[in-house]
Amino acid sequence: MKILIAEDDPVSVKVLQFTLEHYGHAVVVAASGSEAWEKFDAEPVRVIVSDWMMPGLDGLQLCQKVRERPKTEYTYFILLTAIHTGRENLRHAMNAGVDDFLTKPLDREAILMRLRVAERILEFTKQIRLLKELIPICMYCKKVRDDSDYWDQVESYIHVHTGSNFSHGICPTCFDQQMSNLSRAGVTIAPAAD
Amino acid sequence: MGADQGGSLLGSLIETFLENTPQVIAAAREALAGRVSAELERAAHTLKGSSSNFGAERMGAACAELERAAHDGVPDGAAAMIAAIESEFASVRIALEGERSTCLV
Repeated sequence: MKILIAEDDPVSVKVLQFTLEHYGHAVVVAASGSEAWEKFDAEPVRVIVSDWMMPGLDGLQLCQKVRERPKTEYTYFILLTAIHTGRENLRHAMNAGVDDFLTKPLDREAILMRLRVAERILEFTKQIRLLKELIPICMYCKKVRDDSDYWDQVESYIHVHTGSNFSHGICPTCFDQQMSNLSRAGVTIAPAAD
Repeated sequence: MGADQGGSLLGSLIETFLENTPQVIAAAREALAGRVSAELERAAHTLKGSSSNFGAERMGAACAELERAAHDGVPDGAAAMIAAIESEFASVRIALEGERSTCLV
């Protein structure tokens, strides 16, 4: 995974860079918020680890610009904070679009755990995007198109990717239509006895 | 992380810290001279984060004090606060130079 580090303290950069590269990630380093934005805008990455207070754009401004960038896949944004960062500041950061926090001094295990969460969330966003792309759904009535064999494809895909099972029923519109077809074919269905 | 790798990383971190800190302290003095509180606050913040990697608690506390004080403008005691940070850094430097020499063995 390619990860962008936005941090002006070279010691923290080294700790992060060493840890991330040690575990097989590719790292892009920016020493200011503005430089981080330029690098991201030129080539978006899926994970950003950013300090809050930096020259140029600060961490929250960087996060807002990332969130506002059109046609950009979801980017997991981790903000570096001090241990004593108050709740109000954390809430402010969450509202700006930050996904997670890492406290300084940096701890290798904490970095790795946060990255595992990031990978999991990014995998979910990928699955949701694929699901959205795969299922042709009516914008108005939300019915899934009943092309030949399409039900099977959607069901098996959703089952494989989410573990969901389907119970089969019939919607009122289709019920009326089927009854009408049967009636035209001369089939009469007696009402169920009480 | 192997012992050699860990040792060389620590040596490299110490070297970076010892090289970078005087520059950030100088930036803090410059910010004080120019009465730019945001730059002063940021310099203190950077030093706080940087020193925390080495467990330099007294230096970290001195940086945190300046960072807090500079949040709402350039504080009256800023020059003394920077001097306190510099003094703590002198002690940290001695300890880290000793540590670095063991990394090089």
